[in-house]
Amino acid sequence: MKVLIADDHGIVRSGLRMLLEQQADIEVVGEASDGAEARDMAIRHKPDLAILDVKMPKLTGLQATREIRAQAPDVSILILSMYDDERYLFEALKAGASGYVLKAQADSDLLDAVRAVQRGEPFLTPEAQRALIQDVLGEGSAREDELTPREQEVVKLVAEAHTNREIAEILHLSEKTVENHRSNAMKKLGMRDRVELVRYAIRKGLIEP
Amino acid sequence: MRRQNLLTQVLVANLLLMVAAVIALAIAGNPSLNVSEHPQLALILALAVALMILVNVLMLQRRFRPLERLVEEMERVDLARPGANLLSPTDGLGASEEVDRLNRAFRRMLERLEAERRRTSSTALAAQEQERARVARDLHDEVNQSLTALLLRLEAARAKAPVEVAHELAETKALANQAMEELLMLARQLRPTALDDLGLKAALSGHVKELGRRSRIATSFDSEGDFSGLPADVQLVAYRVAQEALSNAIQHSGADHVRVTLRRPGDRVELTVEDDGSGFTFDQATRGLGIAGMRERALLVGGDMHVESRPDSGTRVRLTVPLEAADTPGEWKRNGHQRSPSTRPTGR
Repeated sequence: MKVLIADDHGIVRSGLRMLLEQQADIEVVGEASDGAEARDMAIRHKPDLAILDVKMPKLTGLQATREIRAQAPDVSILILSMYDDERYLFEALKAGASGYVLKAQADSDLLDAVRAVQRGEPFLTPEAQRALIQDVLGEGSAREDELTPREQEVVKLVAEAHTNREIAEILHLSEKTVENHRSNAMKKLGMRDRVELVRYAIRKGLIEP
Repeated sequence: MRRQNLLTQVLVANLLLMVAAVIALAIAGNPSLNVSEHPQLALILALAVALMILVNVLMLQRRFRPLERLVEEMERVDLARPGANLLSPTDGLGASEEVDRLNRAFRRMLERLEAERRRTSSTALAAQEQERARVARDLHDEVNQSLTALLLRLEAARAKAPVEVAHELAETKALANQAMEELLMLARQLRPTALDDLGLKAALSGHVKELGRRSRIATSFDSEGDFSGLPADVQLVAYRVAQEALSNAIQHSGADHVRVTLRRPGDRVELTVEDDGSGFTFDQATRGLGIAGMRERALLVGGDMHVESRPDSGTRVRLTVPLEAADTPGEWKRNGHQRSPSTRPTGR
């Protein structure tokens, strides 16, 4: 089983590699240190599984998940997260991830999750299952984001102070398209400048404050 | 040297002048007059002096009363309760121009002091919040990533270690797990990210639930009204006050149950934290229950804190923040937190 790992912390990547490579049938085929790199590598190398940290520069783990699922649907994805927060869990599943593993429980859950994905099953902890059930039975998750996933990607990169040209390069789009997404996003959010956009991005967990 | 009060000093001076004047007058009127030969004259003189002293005392006392009242008021001033200081105007009857000026100058100084105090405590609290956010981020981004790496490596080592070592490694791993959870909790307390992401109601509800799970006190949370679109600083103050009051209830009150209520009657926000514990006396309250800190924060958003507690009848902390007044202190917002116009509580 070929696995790609992506985390912006080198020590976490090396820990992941160490644990995974102990398994005779798992081979780590690449390490990425940001979301855009992870997406590119996933599309290029077509691993069986990509393990993505939820918070990374350039593209978040969730944004990378959406793109990978769209362009390489055979690559399964596990999200690795520090956040014991059901919002991220729901977003991850919506983006197309097969599972959500907390870093604080990665030692015991990670291999289980990898094996579940290998069998073609989703991986959810009992707490995650409970949260999902409550969400379905409760008020429902009728809180759609105002922005399209593409617009969110542009917003994150704008907030990270990339120029339109750089954004176009990272997202493999034309500069004109980036400009369109950017102005659409601003219009939808009723914002005038980058400062407001940065605040929005922080609030949405797109970037670290 | 013992200081005499102003009234006595003026009286003594006046008295000496009067006596001197009377004697001078008597001698000037009749240089050959011998007082000892005319005892009734001496009596009249003495009576005149006594009368003058009496009139003098009465008049001076009246003049000095506003000054005394002003001094009393100055001694009572409590900067932690702005507004309350200016309730009794002393510029009433009989105040001389100087006293009146002194009074007004004092009032102006008091206003400046209050403004200055608001500004500095607002800056200090904003700086504190920023520092907390930074520490929380470091815990999250650095320390916890290292712990994650440690966990993963321990697990890797455990899998290939001989049985007796594997057991030890599993225990070590449990310790790392525990450290990580404690750190995450600490980071959450330092900077409740849920507050930025989900808004006051959801963040508070989550915090109350979490405390109920971790302590032996039963906790409950009720809310009534719409809390979306609250200014970020009001949300933060309400959250911090609730946090402090809850921590008091859990650590000191010995209560079985603590209830948090968030309401929005009209144009204000009302937070109540009440427990059925042992209560506390005023004396204990002044010693480190953080009540001064809560009050300080409440002031920043123009809010009012009310603590009711008697030994053996529980404690109720109520915070009321009027929503227009929340706009006044600017420092806080600029330094600390952005307003979140679209913060939407998500019902969970």
